[in-house]
Amino acid sequence: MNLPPHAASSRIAHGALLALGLALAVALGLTHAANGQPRPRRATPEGRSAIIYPLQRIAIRMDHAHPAHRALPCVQCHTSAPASRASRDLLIPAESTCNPCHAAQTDREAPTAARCGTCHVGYGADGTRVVPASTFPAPRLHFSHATHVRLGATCESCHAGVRDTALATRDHLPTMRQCLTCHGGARSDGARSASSPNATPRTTRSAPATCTTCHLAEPDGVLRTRFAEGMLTPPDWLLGMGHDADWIVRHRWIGADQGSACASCHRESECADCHDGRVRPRSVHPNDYLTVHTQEARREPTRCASCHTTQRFCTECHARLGLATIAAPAVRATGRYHPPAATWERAHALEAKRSLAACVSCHAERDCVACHGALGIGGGLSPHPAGFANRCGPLLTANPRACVTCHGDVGALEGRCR
Amino acid sequence: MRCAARVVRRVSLALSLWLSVAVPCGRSHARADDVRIESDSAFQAYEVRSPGTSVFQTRRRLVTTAGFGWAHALAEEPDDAGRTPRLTATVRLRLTQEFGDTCLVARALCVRATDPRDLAAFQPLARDTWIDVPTAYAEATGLPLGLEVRLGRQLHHDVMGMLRADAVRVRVEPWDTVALEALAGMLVRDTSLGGSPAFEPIGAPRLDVNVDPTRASFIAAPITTPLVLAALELGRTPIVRARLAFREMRDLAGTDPTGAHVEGGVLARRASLSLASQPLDALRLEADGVLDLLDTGPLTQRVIAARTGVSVRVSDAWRVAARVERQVPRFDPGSIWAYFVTAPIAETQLDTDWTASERLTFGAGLRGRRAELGGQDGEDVDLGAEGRARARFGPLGVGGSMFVWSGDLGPMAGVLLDGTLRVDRTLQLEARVSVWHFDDANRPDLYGTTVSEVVGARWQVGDATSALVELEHAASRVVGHRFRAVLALRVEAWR
Repeated sequence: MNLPPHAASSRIAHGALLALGLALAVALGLTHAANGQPRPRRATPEGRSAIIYPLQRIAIRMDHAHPAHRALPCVQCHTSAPASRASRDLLIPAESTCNPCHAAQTDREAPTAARCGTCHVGYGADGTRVVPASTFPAPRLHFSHATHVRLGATCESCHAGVRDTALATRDHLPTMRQCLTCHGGARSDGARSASSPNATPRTTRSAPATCTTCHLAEPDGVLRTRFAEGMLTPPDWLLGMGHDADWIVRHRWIGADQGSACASCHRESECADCHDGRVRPRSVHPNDYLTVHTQEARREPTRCASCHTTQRFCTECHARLGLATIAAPAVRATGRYHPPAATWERAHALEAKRSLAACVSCHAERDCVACHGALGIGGGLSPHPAGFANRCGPLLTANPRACVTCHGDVGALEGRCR
Repeated sequence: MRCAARVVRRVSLALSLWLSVAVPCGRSHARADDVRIESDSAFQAYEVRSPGTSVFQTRRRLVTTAGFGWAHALAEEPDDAGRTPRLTATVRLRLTQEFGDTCLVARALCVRATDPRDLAAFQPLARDTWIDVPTAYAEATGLPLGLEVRLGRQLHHDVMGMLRADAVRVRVEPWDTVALEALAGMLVRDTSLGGSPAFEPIGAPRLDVNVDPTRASFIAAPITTPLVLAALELGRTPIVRARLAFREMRDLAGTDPTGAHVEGGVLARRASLSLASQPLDALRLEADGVLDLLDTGPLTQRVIAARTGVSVRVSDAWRVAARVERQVPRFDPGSIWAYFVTAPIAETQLDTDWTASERLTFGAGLRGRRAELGGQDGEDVDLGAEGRARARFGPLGVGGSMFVWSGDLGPMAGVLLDGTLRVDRTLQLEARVSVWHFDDANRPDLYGTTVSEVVGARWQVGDATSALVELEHAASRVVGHRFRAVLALRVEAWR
């Protein structure tokens, strides 16, 4: 197919498109930063996951820091907590628990906005009454208060700061770092400082630190990670496994070194879905990757090989398109793929050094052997570096196939290779 | 053989369809014996064309998997270490079916590259139907001393690379700070029973015995490759965690379909060391290296991969990371590619991420690439930069990213904008727009800018089933207008 030559107007158009895209990307951030909206709560490592602890609606007035409340032991109101064995148990006190002290307010014979409004939100001074229901979704964890109490944990071991706050919220539920203070003792440095020093449980035995001790798992032991609120992902402080924007690059190193940690949440099929190179993962290869893949293949050949077997995946397609030298006669390209022979004859060696894998994506061994094979098989242009004969003996012994391809007689080589 | 392939193809198609239809939505409660069924199906239709040729492929490709898992807990409660002894088994069957043709432009002539009777069109590497078994293993986990045993077709991944093997793998972790791992078996090649070439080293293409070798002289004979692997892990990350590993793969000598002798030899003999330390929550240090024990050249060639990286969380919202990586490309030592000089490539990366709020994140990075071409050729030096931003406003999510490269490998730049709109709990609409500029130094006619737009929708049919529809249009001076349609269906459920 003959294509039109470069045109100045085309280049200007390309530049304008690029500039437009860049401007859009920048504007996207600037307009949001300048919109004057109140800033939402900053996500921090201390923040509670909305997946582990789904968002609550607490339509109750409660002041744990009130002197009268502070004077009471926690179990006075949270009576069922010490015996609770499941995280789904609702441990919020019932109204009857409040009656001994708040009988006047809970008197249903004479309800008034002022009385009901002591505990319930939604009673306006102007007489309006819109009282929402409270919702406390169960945490997505395995947790037994009974076990922890039996082993010596106090309420504030996990719910630090509740006595000093008005309303106890998700922020008073334990984070994974706090849990790991005892579970495995892996993070005693950061985790202990994150909570009150007094919050350390009295137990001296290390609690199990397997993921499934706390997290919900499928029957095969793989953690449940897909929830309506999104995907459950690990924090960055945990083995450097934060699944941030850079994770698509970093995951190979973490996975290579600590694959068993990855296997806590991922099945092998998830690796194969991308790395088998069958279906294009959209997060890796963006729009129209087909057109630009040659650029990336030249720049990062080793990354391509992490999913694509060059001599099969690449060559098959290039051959069917007629680009490769092994293409069938009916489809083989008639024009020249590379720059003119006069320049390519020298330049191709440099390109082979740059990205030999790109050469392999079209060329079979025979194409190179034609020139680089030993005299009698090829042209005798040696591809080996200087001094190769002094160190090729072990290579010949280890795997003679390549030697045979170019030299034929291995016996003769054995005398020359040292 | 062909008849058998047809039968398997029909069975796998039927199985996939049955899974897609028969699995009702919803999740059952775990029992002592649990069965997991899954199916991934993706159908893509698009055209592939390259400048300089009059050929384009009409790709009509279906890739579908049917998977089965089984889990049996050997104990009701975990032991003191939190382990639950468990037996599991997993099998996946995959069918890749190509319905398209290889045509000349304007469809003046369409030929079947997979028809061996068509001497002018036959391409031995091409196949219409491809059935493989990517996974098939049974496993016992959670045993005393942290013992795990896996037997069957499995993936293995470490810093020396990923491989697929028909093997037995044993891992024991008697203490928190010590673990031993060993794997022995056969490398899965394209020519293995139900195999695929995905993790074969780069070398000569190998095909099974059904292809007449006189029709494909560039194809090497099938070969069997036993492998062994051993690893020792010491320490734990707050201080230092180390993993020392050794891997050897060896091709066995044999005969090709014509009876000619095929040389065997060592495919790879490598050792690796990886270190990781996270002395503070905010500081992580990593380093690893791979030594090629076959190579007898200078150390700079024998250390075929090395990397070191540091990640610092400056504040709760701000993270900075730096990496230096060096790779020496390696090829199957049984192929001539292993004997050409290849340039070691060093990359330096500096990245930062800033979480401005729960709704807004930014990221930026600088890249440096240096290839040591050696001698008079000097070196290639390229510099790059990239940026990204992502924001969420209720059901609307938008993101943008851009990159720019410049240097000896030529200019390249791109911008990608994407957006998602969650209509309700089950439906999400998606759109992406990208602009890439490129200029291929090896192809005088391969330069230009490609603009592409994608619209799609994801439908969560139930807890167990999700579907994706995607339409893509791209336009560039290189190949004109190109369209692609993708339909995907995923089913996954425990029963």
